[in-house]
Amino acid sequence: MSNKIKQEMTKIEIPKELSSRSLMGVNQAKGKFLFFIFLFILIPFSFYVYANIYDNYISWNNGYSTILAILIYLIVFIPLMAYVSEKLAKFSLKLGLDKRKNFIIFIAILITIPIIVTINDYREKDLDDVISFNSKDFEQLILGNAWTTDKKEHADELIDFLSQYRIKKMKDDEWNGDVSKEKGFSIDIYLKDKSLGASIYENRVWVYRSGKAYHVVNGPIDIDWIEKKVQEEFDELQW
Amino acid sequence: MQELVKKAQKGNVEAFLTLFQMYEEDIYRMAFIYVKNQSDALDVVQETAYRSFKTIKKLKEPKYFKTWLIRIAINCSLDLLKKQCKITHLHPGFEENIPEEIIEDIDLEVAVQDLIEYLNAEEKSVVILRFFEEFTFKEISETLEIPLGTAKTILYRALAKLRNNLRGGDVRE
Repeated sequence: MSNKIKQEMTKIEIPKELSSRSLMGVNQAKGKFLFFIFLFILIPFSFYVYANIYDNYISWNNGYSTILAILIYLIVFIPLMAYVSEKLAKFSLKLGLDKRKNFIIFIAILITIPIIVTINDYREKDLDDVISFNSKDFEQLILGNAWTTDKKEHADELIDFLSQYRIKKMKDDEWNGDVSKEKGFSIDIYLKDKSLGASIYENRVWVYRSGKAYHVVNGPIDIDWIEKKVQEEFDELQW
Repeated sequence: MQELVKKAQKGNVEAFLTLFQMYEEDIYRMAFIYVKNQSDALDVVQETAYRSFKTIKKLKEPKYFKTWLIRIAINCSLDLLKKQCKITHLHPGFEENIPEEIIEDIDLEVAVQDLIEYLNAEEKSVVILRFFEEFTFKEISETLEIPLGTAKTILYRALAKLRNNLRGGDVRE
């Protein structure tokens, strides 16, 4: 009987696509792995971008809108990231990312990008790099909540003065909230579609939009020059 | 073969595919008996490849690759049937009066259609493993994770059903 059953079962025709279906199963497993890798990367990344957009561009944010924004993120963005991860996983398989060597290169790139971004973030740079703007979009400059001008030349002159100073990002816990012992001023620049703002002290700078704080490397900043300049302009009634 | 298994466990896709393709026809034919059509049988093969590739690192003894793979294939087939609500259950009390010796050598003119039509999923598993894969009862009990006696009981019942059917009796469940 055993032979009969074996003989009979051997008669079951094998479809042509059998091997390709086996391969699909393996690719499916590899794709799943890549899917989770992409999801693992995309969820924190998308949350970071989403939170930044919400903080910086949504003017009406308050307690309720924050809860709403979180709900929208959970209901809309997480499924969206899952969908994007699946597409990326399939695309990656087409690119041959399932091969060990290619995958190692891919992971190396993924690790390198945030390292480069972090190094760039902490490198020494000109002060005007963090509060630069396009002159064409300039509308208004406010210094110390008191001095206001809509003359582009004033803004350009101020930025030009600040550009001589070099700054370096400091860690959040390095920032000391007590600024009473330092001279300083706040600067707000209103452009057509956005605004820039910073608190500038002799030895440190706080940029509002990014929430980042910087040491002044070649400080102290000559705050007297600013005050003197403002006073001159004020005397001439041009400010 | 054990070398291939070790390579596959290290993530070597080519090694895994070489191994899997040694058994894919067997898996397809087994699946066909359970699911009764080509399309679902191919789905079972794909799912078996997926699950086995995903979990091959957990296989402790490379020499048991075949039995391990067959078990996955059977589970995939049963899962598909469960999804389609096509699993049939045993008659209670059918296990009574099982003889010690099981006569397996009766030359029945059994057809694939008989296996498909007259046996339930559990009986198909045992018949396929015993006659198609030529497993011992010990291997069957290990593969299906059932006691040795139960494996014999199920086989006896399956053969009885086939015999009765071929004689014109009807023991369909």
